[in-house]
Amino acid sequence: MSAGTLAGVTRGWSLRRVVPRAEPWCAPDSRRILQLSLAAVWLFDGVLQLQPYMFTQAFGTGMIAPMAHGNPAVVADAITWSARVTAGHSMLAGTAFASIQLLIAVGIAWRPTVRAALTVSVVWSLGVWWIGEGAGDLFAGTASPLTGAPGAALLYALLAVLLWPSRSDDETAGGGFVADRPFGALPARLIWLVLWGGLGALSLSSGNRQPEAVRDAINTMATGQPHWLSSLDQAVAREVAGRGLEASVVVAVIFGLVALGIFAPPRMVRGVLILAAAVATAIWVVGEGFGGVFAGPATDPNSGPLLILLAAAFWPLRLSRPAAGPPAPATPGVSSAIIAAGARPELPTEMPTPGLTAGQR
Amino acid sequence: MRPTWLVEALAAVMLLTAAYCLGRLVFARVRARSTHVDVDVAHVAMGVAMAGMLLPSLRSLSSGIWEILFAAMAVWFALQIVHFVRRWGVRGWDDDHLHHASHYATHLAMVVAMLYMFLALPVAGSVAAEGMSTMSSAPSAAAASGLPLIFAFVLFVAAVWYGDSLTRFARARTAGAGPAPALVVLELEQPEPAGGVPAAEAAAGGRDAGALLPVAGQGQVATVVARSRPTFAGAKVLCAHDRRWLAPRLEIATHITMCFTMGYMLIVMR
Repeated sequence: MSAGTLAGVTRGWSLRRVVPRAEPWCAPDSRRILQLSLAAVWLFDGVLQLQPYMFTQAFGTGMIAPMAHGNPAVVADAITWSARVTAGHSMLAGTAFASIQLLIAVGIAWRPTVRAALTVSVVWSLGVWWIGEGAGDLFAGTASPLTGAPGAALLYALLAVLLWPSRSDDETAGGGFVADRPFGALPARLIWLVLWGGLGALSLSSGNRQPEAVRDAINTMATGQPHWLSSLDQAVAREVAGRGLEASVVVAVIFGLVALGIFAPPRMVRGVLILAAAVATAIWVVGEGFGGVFAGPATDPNSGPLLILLAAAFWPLRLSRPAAGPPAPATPGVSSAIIAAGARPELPTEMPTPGLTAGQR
Repeated sequence: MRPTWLVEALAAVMLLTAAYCLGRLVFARVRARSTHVDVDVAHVAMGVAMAGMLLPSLRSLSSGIWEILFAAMAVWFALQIVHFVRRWGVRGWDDDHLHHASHYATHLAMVVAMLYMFLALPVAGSVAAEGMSTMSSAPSAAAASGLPLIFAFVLFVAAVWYGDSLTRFARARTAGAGPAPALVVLELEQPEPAGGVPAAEAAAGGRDAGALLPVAGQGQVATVVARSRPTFAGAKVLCAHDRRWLAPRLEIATHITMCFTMGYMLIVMR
């Protein structure tokens, strides 16, 4: 095809008018990678829900019903009712719970359904948080950030909101981190402040300041764990025995630094986020015992991995704002265009390869 | 009450997947279509082996034979990774290199997980006679090591990673469909020095940069966008132009199915 033909084709034609093109596929960016990480966690949860224990009455009576303990009636009644229904229809309930979580994972992983899946995940997470986690024990007064407060399910919902595929697909837009795209940098930072500040406040609650509160919390999670993990837990528990107040204050100060550090310059924010991820890892290992996945039936890996994902969502993608300059001049005549088949380059379809292909060798 | 229906369903899916991959191999050979031979062979083996793990009545070969087979596959895929990295590096020539680079890595993880299940998990060995559907939920020594969960999580990451790549092939089909095939997307740029390189020549040379096409009368050149890149077997399923590739989305679906079922077995059988 001659260049003249190309020019003729470009005149008065646009690609969208000729070829109903699907949204171009592009390699996963930072937000997409975080969405896929969230999908992997949902998939993990869904498969955990497929364990034989989850299809027994014990799932309702032994795992859901105890969440009512200590909660006000508005929470406890819903938990008790759900536990009764789940125990009465254990096979159906187990199948439904697993299916929903697997569908959420599949929906996030498949691009056309990301928004729908994230919406479902918010609704489902809040339901699980209220019923399956007893609202994170926040109303019972026994919530401890060392053991998973404010509840992993709440963090799933939060992540779904912060990773929402907004219009702005520019990685360098806004404040330069993934979580700022749905609402902007300031609201995202305020969410971070409330979350980590709330964790700090929780660690200073009266229940967590008791001399043996931290030791007891860690010892409880050590029960039933593999030897290497229970030994680690017990060693830490011995260190904090009788020092509940000091431990709570230290933890609260660290949480406070993490909460406020999000407003620091980007370079410092990276340090703060590394600290947040380290704290989340420590909580996950020592306080949460990896969500109990080693100890037997568990429904999720608890809040540790989600706090790490959250920190990743606030990671500054650049260390300084780009210099403001005049907008790039519009290029005259720039448009998408097409050329007809005759001009299509003959693409090499086969290269010397490290693998084998059938039908060609 | 145990979900025996789930175990039976997964065993059936594994056998179907193995049969489908076997069919891919035959069809690709007969009709001169492209496919990953090594991956399809691995899927056949894994599908049959997992069906036997799930339901003892479907056991075919002894554990020892499976272990040798999967060890050999692990070596093969490890060599493919080394080959890939030595040839193309970890940073490639297009924006989807992560998918290319992860292709053999995920399959290495899968065959190593299979090997681990045969070597370390009781259900694949002496306890297999009772089948997985009767396994208790009590954690074993293998579970205490954490390896089954790590393997499972890696496989789930691979599954969602593959799931993300499914939509690439929708574009490929759209671009190639209709009565006017082989339309090439162009972006027009500012004038360049005279004598732009013809697109076909540039493409034939496997240039990384877009090929230039002089446009008469407009003083502009057109750049063929990301279409003149070379392809190679590790990434051929990613090439929108390779219409000889046999059912790429179904191939990806088999990866996802394998990863999911294997992850499930690792978690439930630990």
